[in-house]
Amino acid sequence: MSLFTVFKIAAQGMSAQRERLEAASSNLANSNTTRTLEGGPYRRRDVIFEVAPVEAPGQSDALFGSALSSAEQAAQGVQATTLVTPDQTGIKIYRPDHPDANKEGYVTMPDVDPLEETVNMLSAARSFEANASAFQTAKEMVRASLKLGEV
Amino acid sequence: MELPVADRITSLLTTFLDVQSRRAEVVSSNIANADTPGYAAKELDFADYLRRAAHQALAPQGPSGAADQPLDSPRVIEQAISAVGIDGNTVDMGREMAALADSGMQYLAGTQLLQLRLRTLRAAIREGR
Repeated sequence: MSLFTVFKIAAQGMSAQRERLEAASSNLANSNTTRTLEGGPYRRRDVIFEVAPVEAPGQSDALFGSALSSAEQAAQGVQATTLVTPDQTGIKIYRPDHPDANKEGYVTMPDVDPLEETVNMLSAARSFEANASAFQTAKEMVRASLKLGEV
Repeated sequence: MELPVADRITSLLTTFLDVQSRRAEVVSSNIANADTPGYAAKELDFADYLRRAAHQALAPQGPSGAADQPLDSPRVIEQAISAVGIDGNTVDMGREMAALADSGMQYLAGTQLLQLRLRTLRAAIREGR
């Protein structure tokens, strides 16, 4: 049933956008963090999106899996992965009274651009709404087909 | 085999609903991938579908004729590129939202027509009572 595929795709889209929003808010909250568990200043989180199959491999029904038409396989979901910046240069600020300042009096701050993160956040919220809208439309379609029973 | 007129309308409406829900599926896939780098927006090839349907309708009727085989679903193709983002993504959000609303409305219209068809059949079965 292809309408239920729409639910799956929209849900994948929404969770991918949520992950992006999480990364942006984490970056904004930690834009001044100089201490982390792994040592050194906070490192920026980036979310990358990639095309993913709607069904996870092995999850699809073995009996009906091969009977799927090519059109059904052509609809693709999305998957988000959060990456931590491996080595950042950081922004050096001269603050000799700071506890984490080095011998020359400079503190290394995380490489976070508040403007970029805010734009990212707004964009994620809008894309989330678009996916929710697709979900809503599919819901109305399913409801209409269920109403066919009450002739 | 010659189908009764009532059944032909019902099967036509069923195919219509099937195509519209498949369209919603492709559109939702485009919306979910609106931020995926390098993703090419897709759509159903309706022109090709119509061509195949017309070809089938003109094929010779009969027990072994092509007209008896059900038409398979429309093919999914990549959209003609209108604008490419800096990340190589070709999804036009406005176009996709319009297509989503359109397929939803068409689907609702299709179910209304199908419901009318079923009501007519029921009226006939109950002798108009």
